[in-house]
Amino acid sequence: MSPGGRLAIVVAGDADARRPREEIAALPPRDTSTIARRCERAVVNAYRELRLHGVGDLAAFESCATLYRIHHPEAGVAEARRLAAEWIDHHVVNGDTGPTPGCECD
Amino acid sequence: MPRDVRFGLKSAGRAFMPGAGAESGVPVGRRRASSPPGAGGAAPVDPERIERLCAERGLKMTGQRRLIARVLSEAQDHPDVEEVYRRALALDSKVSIATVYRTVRLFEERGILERHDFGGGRARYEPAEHGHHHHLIDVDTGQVVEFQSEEHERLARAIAAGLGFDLADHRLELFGRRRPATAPGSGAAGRSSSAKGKGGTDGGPSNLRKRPTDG
Repeated sequence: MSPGGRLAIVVAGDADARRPREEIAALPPRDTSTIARRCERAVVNAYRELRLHGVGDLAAFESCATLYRIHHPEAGVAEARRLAAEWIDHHVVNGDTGPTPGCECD
Repeated sequence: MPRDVRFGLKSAGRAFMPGAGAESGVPVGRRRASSPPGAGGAAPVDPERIERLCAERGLKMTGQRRLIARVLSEAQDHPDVEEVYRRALALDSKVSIATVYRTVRLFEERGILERHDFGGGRARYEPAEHGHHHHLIDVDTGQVVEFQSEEHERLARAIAAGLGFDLADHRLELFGRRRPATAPGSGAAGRSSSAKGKGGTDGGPSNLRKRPTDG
């Protein structure tokens, strides 16, 4: 799986409450091309798509943290979760624009 | 036989299995009390305590932050982020794990929460500023017992002084396995009967105090 490609790892069996697809779809369709970091774009896009396809919040989050570590093998689990949470909360949950903290890659 | 032992552990039902994957890291903790040592019973939980701390520190409180703050204020154990998320989800199905992670981290950065690593791969949190205490972790169940020990405090200060320092702060984490209970009437050995602050553990230091509980 290429880092820039679609997320192929899906953690199945998440019975936690799932935000209705309609809610995710109703979020402002962010143009993630404005996000400078490639890994951040990948995480945000992956989360949106996973949720749109019915994957639960917890499973989608863990998948995105894993995706970050594919981009950054040197990062630990805690770091990956921290950044995935930061970016998902900023871009998807809050729909915010503006810079986010994170790695120095482009 | 220790005297003046106050019980600081209250089972919350679900066990933490350190070896069973971090996903099940639900600690079984104690019922916290804000009453001073020696007082009977525990002070009621203040569900707005953390929200007040946030306001004092100039944090903007959104609806979701308020919800997470409430869950943390009402926690009587040392939950990890996923446990906080589950509890918040029970109150609001729209809360996101990402928001919980980010909020808990923000609270920690602002000194509202204290983070602990007791093993098991997940950090656990408790409100900061609720008194100097230490932790004993049951390695089989993940239960966390808070305790205070004057003997340990004296020893720590003496060690620091012997090295030419004034003790500024210290932490103590004990990892233990509960001793099997002995048959009734077999003597002082065995499990503590200090649930109501009356008895004590077998052979423990006389000035050991568990954190009070209303249990």
